[in-house]
Amino acid sequence: MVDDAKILDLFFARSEQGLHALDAQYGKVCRKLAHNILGDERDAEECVNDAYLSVWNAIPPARPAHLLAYVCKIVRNLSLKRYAQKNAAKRSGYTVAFEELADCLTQGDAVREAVDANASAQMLAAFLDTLSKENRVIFLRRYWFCDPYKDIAARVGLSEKNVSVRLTRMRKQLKNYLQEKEGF
Amino acid sequence: MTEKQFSEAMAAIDDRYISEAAKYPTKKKHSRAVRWLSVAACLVLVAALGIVILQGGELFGDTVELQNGEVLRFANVDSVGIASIDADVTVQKLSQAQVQQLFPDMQAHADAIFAAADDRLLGIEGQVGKIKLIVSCSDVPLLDTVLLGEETTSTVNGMPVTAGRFVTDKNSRGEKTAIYYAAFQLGESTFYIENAGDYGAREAVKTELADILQTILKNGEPNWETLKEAS
Repeated sequence: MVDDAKILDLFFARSEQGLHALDAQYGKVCRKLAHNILGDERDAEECVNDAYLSVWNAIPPARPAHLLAYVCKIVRNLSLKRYAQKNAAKRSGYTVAFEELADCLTQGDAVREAVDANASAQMLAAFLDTLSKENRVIFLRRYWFCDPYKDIAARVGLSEKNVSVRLTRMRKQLKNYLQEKEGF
Repeated sequence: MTEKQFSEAMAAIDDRYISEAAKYPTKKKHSRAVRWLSVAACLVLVAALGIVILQGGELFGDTVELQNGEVLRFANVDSVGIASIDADVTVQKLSQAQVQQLFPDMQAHADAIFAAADDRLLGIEGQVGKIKLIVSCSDVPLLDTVLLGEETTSTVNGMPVTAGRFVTDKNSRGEKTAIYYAAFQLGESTFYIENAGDYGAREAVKTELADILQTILKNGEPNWETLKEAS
């Protein structure tokens, strides 16, 4: 196990060992995330490799405080882009996860969508802060990492049914929260 | 918030939320055996609480705090039996002066018990208020009742005191009677004191018993010489 600081030092020293250390440390998480979105192992592997290249180019000068989150964000963004490009008719984990949220969200509206994405992120963060740590993890694991219920249940030590019920309640909370904040 | 905005908001979410979810430790599920053991432990606890409730709700047993701060603990006695006194006896009513000489500071009435065969003093039997008092000063036990069940010994003024309680079944009026007793040894004399009353007033019943116990212990062993001389 190499800690984040040592991996970053290797990147700053432009040592390829940094990439190996990054893959050894977080490769599994990244590949699972990409696979959850794309539903294809080969596409996931390519996205992760592209993400490593992006990380290599970004560090230095960047020195992220949360290296895992930083890499995961890049993997997620690249995976979503690839997903959009392929416009896969098949239902991936991402599609399924977001279909659950349809009732909480409004339909596409140019005016609404012009609202600063940053404001939306702040609103979402404020909502996440209202959740318990365990529920927040469940929410993020489902709608950020696109984990299937079974994996979330195994992670938090609950049954799949429990996870499902908690997510249903959280979606309801999110809907009420957004209605209250946005007034729609 | 539209789906696009939500998606963008999720993409822009603070790293700390992602780290928290990514590094959340996987909880190990308890094995089936451990879960069954937990269920069994709960059942035992429920059963124990049920027994406590059936025994009158005293979780840590029936006790009374004495004036010196010590605690007298009463064991639950299952039943009361009858014992026969293994001697022919004669009974002599004691005067108030004799009672006061034996038990100072106690408003008692008592009879002295003598062996019929040789007029030997066996002890006394009497009442202090409504508290039964039996004292044996020989090797012949005078107690005509046997209390069956567990025994609990407390230390009062440095002396071991065995105490217990017996609760009768409900009578025709639906009332239960609580009987509290204490037995102890002072020198060559064996004491037995007993008080009874309504179960609902048991706090008063055991407090009265405790007060008499402390008075007897404070007085020490009675001086039987006068009575022995009289015999």
